[in-house]
Amino acid sequence: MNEDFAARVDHTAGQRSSKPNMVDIFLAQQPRLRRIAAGMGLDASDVEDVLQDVSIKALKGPANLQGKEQSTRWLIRVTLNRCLTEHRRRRTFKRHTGEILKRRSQNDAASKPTAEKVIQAEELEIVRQNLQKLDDTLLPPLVLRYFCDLKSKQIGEVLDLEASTVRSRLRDARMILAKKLQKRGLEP
Amino acid sequence: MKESCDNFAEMLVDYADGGLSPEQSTKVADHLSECEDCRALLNGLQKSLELAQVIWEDNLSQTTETIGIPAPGRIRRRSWPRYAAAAILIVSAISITSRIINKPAKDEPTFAEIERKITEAGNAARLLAAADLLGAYSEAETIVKQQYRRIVETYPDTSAASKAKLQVE
Ligand SMILES: [Zn+2]
Repeated sequence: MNEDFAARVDHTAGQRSSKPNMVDIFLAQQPRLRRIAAGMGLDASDVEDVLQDVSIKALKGPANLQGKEQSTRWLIRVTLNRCLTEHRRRRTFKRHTGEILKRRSQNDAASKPTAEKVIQAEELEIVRQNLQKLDDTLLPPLVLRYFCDLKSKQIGEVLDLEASTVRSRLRDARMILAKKLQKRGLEP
Repeated sequence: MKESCDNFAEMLVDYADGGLSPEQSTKVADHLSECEDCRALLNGLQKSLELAQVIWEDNLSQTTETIGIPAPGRIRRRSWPRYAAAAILIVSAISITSRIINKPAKDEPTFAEIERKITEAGNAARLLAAADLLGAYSEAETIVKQQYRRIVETYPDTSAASKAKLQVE
């Protein structure tokens, strides 16, 4: 054990015992944060980078957080903000569609006989490109709702938005993806 | 698309998600039964979400299930972490001190070498911080030990490595 670190933890614990232990909460929330970062389209190494940055921020301990729920929301928000930085640099959803389909067919062959619908590479590519282009304000609600199963109200609490605003952003995001897919389907 | 379709388009996402009241839901279903455009849009809504989920799941499956420690070969190399600032200070201090002691020699480090040292020091500091963080948890003991060893082996010339060495000895 690192002496300095132990001392710091004890000191913190003694001084602010009513405060939630951010490190515990971070470790408990880590699978969810990982899921969020993957859903935001970061590749594996970027996901690890983001989680390490968040863990260090959690270790430093943000001010004025009360209770586990508020701390969890803070962790999700910090994670999302880091992911959005990558998204703005167009460093998300980079994985080639062919690679996804190949891995999928390998997994399917290994597990179940493929009864599911055949995925068209072109359609998957359209969705991938449009996730990559999706506005900063639309991608986080979409990921939190449809990949992390959060309700509009919970998403609003994380993003500091009214639930009605969240719902309207979800509708916009869904419509963009659907219409782009449809439009392409109509083209010769 | 008929004019009334705009009103229904608003509700289609919620309809697809099962978020409408029974009355609203019936209204939309009635419209869908007689409107091909809205059926196509509903199909687009469902299909695009399914495909997005395929992409998300695939991306998640590629991440490692470690507890906050990057897998070997996955250490960041691009941008400088927070700790790089401290690392830069340390490395510059070392290089200045060594210049004073050694006087300028012809084998002065190149910029690329300095940059590499900074990056290594940053990486090592980062890994050390993560290992220290996890050191508080007894269930992470094995992985933390491995992590310290890896810092010592991969970045032997860094100050993080000397600290990590104390942890494994
Ligand atoms: Zn219609």
